[in-house]
Amino acid sequence: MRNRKNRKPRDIKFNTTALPDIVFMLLFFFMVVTVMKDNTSERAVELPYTQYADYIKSQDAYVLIVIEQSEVGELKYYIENKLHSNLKSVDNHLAKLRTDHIADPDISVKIKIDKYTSMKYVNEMKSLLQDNSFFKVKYLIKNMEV
Amino acid sequence: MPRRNRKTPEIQSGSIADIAFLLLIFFMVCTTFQREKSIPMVLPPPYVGPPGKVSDSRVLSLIINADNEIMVEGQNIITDIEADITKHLKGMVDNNKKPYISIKLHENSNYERYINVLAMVKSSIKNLKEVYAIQRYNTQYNQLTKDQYHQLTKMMSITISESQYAL
Repeated sequence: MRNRKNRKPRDIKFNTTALPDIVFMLLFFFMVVTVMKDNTSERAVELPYTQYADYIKSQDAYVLIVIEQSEVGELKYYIENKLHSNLKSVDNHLAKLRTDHIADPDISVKIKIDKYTSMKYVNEMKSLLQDNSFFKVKYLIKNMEV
Repeated sequence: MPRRNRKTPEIQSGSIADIAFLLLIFFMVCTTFQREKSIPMVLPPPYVGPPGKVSDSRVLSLIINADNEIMVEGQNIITDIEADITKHLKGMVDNNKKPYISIKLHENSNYERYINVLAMVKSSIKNLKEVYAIQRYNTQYNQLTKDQYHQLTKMMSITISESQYAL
């Protein structure tokens, strides 16, 4: 009993030398994981929303196609962020992409299309993709953000 | 010559942790783990030639008109389209017929409706698979063995065909 009373309160010191290491580790993790928003999502494409949808594995290679409709109903096609105003140049670009990805016949195509676009234009794009042997398509769906 | 008293230069490293914290917080705030969602489809290779014939009893016809209204087997359905599709598909699979879903789209129907219909078809196929997994193998769909999975996929092989019409 007496012993306990005589004890002086020790001041507790944490060893913080490893703290920067931990912080750096976390920093590198987040730096690697972070994907900055790509500029295509800033375009005025309103994707459709459905309850049923599959998640996309992010590591797969893909070709991105965007069909945007302006307020006057004019269509703009973006393939890999390059703007095309008519289907002829879309076709040429797709043919070039096909030869670029010759080693990867199953490469998938992510398609972002404005939800008010007529199916006529969607089908035109689909037949161009078929002609250039791009068969795996993924219609992108809006992510509900709460 | 004055005698220089050289000291080994020291770099102040006390604030490195602060800088790292700052960067860490920046990247933590910027990171989003949201994954993209999609409806995957496999397009058929371009086909030229006479149209193939499919027996009527295994065709499920979905028609979307210019006003984005949907007709399932010739009937205008407004509510619970998915349940109706599931019902038709189940009827065919139960009779050992391989369903052939024909989607006819008016050229002025919009993309949103098309995607909606695709999602409904995909979701009812998935629901049916789950039902059959329990019925035939008494297990959950995602716990099927490889053989069972292949059998089920073979039994349920469903073709989706799309065409466009204009009036």
